[in-house]
Amino acid sequence: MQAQSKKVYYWYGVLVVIYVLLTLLPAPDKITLAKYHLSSTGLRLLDLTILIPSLAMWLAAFYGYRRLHVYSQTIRGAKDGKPTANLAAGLLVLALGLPLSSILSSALALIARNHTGFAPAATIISNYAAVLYPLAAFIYIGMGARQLGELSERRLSYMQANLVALVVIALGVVFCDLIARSHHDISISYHMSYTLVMLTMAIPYMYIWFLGLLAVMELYSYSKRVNGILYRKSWGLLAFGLGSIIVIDIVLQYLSTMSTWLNGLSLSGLLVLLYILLLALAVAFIVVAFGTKRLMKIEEV
Amino acid sequence: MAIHSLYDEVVTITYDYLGPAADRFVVRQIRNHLGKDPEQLTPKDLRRLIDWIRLAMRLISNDSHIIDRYVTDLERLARSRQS
Repeated sequence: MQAQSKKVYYWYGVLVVIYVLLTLLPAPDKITLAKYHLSSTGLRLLDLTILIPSLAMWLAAFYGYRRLHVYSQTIRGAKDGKPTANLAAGLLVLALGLPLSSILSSALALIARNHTGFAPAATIISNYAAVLYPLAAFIYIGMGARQLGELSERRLSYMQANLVALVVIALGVVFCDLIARSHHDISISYHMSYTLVMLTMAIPYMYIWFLGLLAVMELYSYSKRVNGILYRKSWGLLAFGLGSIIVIDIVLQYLSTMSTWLNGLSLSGLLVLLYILLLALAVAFIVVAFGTKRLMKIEEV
Repeated sequence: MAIHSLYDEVVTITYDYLGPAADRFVVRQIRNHLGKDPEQLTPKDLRRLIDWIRLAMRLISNDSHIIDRYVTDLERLARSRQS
């Protein structure tokens, strides 16, 4: 089981090689060089400063997933086995989705650089890919969190349910407002009509945020209310890690849809924001791994 | 009224400390250290089982207060079964 689960690291290796080749092999983009006043070597060094933290964060994601997967396999057949397996499946989709969506975006951008007519299609495909994998991941995580809630026989309180609804509404309204304000930019940033962006981007994103925040609440509730003092303590760390991943991922999704605002940031501002988010996400995946390690201890003695 | 086996009573006590992992934990301790099936657990085995559980719990947690409370609960069960 351990050896089989280690296969995910081979996948990680394959994805890293593809991404590194896609980033470093093609000639530097002239538009980027001009925009940030960089030399070719300067841009390559800049690529590396983004590449290395990204690869480290992906590794943390695979590590967190693997730990949770091994734990879920150890307790499979038990009541908490299936919910934990669903949480692990969600983490796998996230761990694979992060590099795959980056590879897809890089490959499409490369094609678009040589075939300008392909640029709109490249943007649209990248945007939909960025919606689809978190949707799949959050569906699995949401299912796992819900099943855990049912296991502890305690539903979310009226207040908690209302809080989730309120936050999703607030996020959604601000999101739609940002799209509406940049109405004239939509054809440039999304290459789609306003209606299509609202129907096929805004609605799925809001649904993802709802699933994610509901899962955060369910996991928090489970880690506070489940029976077993020591089991509860161990779950607390795991739930905190999973909740942090969901919240940071929502922040990333939110920012990725605000390309107009991001374009206005200076290069150093952009880099600082990126490093903070990558570091936070990596730490959250490692917290999941440590929380799972604590739970695994109970199953090993 | 349902008749609970000694094993069920050990699991019930353990549930307060290990929650959904209680059943798996107790089964492992009985099978691995006493070489028995859980349903074959007798009051005579309880003392040895408690010693193994105390040892296992020290590997799981550093919280001696919780471990002592758990062991006290199990010892209370052992006394009630011997009397």
